[in-house]
Amino acid sequence: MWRGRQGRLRPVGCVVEELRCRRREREAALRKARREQQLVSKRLLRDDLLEEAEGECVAMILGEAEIQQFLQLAQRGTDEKQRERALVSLRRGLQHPQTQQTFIWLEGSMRTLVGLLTSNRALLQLEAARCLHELSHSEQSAVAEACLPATSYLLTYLSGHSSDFIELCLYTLGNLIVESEAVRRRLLPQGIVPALAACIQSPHLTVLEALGYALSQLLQAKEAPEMIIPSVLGSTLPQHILQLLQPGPKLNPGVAVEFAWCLHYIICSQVNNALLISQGGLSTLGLLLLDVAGAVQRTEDAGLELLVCPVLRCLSNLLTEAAVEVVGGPNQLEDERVVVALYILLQFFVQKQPSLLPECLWLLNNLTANSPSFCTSLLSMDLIKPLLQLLPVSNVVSVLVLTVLCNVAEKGPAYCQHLWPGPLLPCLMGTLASSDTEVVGQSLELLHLLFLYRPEVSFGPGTPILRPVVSPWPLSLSILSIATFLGLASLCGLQFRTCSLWLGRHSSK
Amino acid sequence: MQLPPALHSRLLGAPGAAEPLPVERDPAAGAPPFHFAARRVRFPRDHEFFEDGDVQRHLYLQDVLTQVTGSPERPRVPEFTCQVAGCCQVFDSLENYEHHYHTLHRNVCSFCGRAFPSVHLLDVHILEWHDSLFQILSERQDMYQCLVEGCAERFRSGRDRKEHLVRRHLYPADFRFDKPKRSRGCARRGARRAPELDKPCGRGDAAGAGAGAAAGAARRPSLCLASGAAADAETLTWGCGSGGLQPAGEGFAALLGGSGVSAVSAPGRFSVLPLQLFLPLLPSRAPAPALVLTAPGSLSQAARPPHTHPDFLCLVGDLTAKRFAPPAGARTRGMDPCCFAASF
Repeated sequence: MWRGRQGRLRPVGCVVEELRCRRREREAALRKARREQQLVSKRLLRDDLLEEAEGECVAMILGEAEIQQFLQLAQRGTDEKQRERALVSLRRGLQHPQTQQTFIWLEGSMRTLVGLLTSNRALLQLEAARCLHELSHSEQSAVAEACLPATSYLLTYLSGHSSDFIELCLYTLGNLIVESEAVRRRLLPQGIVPALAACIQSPHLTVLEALGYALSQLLQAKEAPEMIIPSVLGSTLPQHILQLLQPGPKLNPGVAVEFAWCLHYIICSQVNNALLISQGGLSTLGLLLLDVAGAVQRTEDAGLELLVCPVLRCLSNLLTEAAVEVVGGPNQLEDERVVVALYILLQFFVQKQPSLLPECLWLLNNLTANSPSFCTSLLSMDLIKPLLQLLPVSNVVSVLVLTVLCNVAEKGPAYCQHLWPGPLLPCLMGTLASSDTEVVGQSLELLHLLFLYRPEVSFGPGTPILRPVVSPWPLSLSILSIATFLGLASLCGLQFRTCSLWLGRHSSK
Repeated sequence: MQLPPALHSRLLGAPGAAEPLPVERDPAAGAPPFHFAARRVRFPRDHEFFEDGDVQRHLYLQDVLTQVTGSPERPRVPEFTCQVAGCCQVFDSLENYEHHYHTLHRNVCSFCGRAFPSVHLLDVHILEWHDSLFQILSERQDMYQCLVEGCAERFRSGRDRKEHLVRRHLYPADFRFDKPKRSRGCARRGARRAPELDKPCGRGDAAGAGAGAAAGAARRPSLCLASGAAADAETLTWGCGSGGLQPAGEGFAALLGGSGVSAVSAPGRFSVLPLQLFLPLLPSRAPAPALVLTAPGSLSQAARPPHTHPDFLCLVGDLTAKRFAPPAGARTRGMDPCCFAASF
């Protein structure tokens, strides 16, 4: 599993507040990058244990002469240990951006490093690979692109047997992949997809996680839907990915996270989702969701949201495929435990990660939209009230909750009978008064459906909840609502028209 | 958020779907101004709906978040030596040993002792270098397969294959795992090294043999045996380990006790016989020979008799016809006790 680290130039004595501040800064930077479609991240594999054993952990800036000296020693030193130490010193220097720049501009340096990478001295080879990995992690394109002469060897070594070395090669490749389209245009003809397809059969979890990372970087590329995903789907990768996502004692969360993200990128591209469905993608992901919900129930494991997020997305987007629409067909997802799992995750995320609530509710929408069975499950398992508890969280969550309720209500009177009246009314009073037009609009849609299918409740005298509020004026509730709407300056014209039509329609009955 | 108590046990229950209530839609439901229609929603990858989850993902990649699982323990062990016969490399960690073993001892050509990074490259090498049938067939059809995983192309010659690797797959022209098979009379430098290192001989940077390379204080000769065509004895040069035997001025001729096979070389060059000839005589689990000493003759011209050299090791196996006790002073370096000295 990815070893812990606190940053490339590890600060000594970092306080919690500083870390929080750094995290907020990083978050802001990532959001900005995403909006500009420049969201790129690399992974650094640095063995903390190794560095502790070596002593000093501070990256040093090396000059040209020092770099040359280390390279010469590594290449021609008489003593094996001396050669290794030279490369270790070079590697530590390469943790610093300035040393990286000096290195790549030094003539013959990369050629020497590649020579050491391909030497038969195993430990030198490992150290050379670590040097290359440091370079691959650079934020400067020139530094990462200077590693290109090594890529054919990195790919060749993927079919070896040394798990640590392969892991290192994969993370290095993953960092290079994300660097630029030019790099990918080189890696693709060099056979990266078949190499990954062969390597995915490795029994080593660390290798698999690294492979998932490298593949996810490849699949994120802008040109992926045209240039990369078709060949990935044409290989054995999808079957292996789904196998690695199957729940059970062999499921490794670190590995699953990476491949779940891979699947997410593949599914979003819509190149051939029918293939994934035919390979059992829906049922695998559904069972995985159950498994994660079970884990959430048992422990308070941090990091499970990292896996849940891509799984939710994959399921939700796959459900929109035509292949799934065939009612009663083999590709349908019908197990109501999926809804149960979703609610358990909703409860978990309310506490731990409220920002993921919309994605959970999105899946709930896609499950209930065209499925009377799932809508019935919500009613029979008494899951409407918990949903209403989410309304105050945010406007986005409110709209989604109301949409799910509309999904249930639009199925007809048998469904509305269980929805209305009940705790829904006071909640709707709250949402109708929202300043967000979408919330209000969705509330009106829901009310319309409820009153359409349960007209006897809306204005009849036997309404237990309405009576104390509106008696002896059954319409006072509606009038009160409309008056509220009209009083809100932010409402758009549609709301006024909707309200007046709605009032007119119901008062005429 | 309060969930019904029975929900948690439902998760552990059997799969099943609820029997749906009857659906009865009224056309007035979607009549204007109301427009709700239940539908599944798809979001493309770059949609803003995914912003929060994407940011979390990237924070994880950048390691600001906690890891999903803990890192495995990596125990330190007391120093130990590689157990492969002929290899004296010392290690203090299992991971380093694992990499060493896979690099040097795993995919080793039993004919010439070269090590390869993968089974595939080893198979290609054996086919193209040691299989006489391949030589015959390659004269008539395209036999040289592309080295890239997933590419099924074949070529008439190694040179065509190299051109394909460079043009189609953007491989470097000096790709180290595509060395051409050397023919008779080629240059001294680099011909008989392990494929990974392309350094001239004698500078102390060793070429590795299949049996492993020296490490630390343990010096070993690292010579590769030739593998020529079945009928020919090839003349070629070889790399030497640090402190190893010097090629200049020495020559050897192969001798195989009882087989009657021999060849005499001229001073300054030496020849060895195809290793296939030695293989039937080796015990089944013997390591690949690193050196086969030869009969006297040219040896009188050697600056220093090999058998007195501190790095002398002979791993040929139980050649009963020419078995000699190692001379006094010769060190066997903890090898298999099948050590020989030539008689001079």
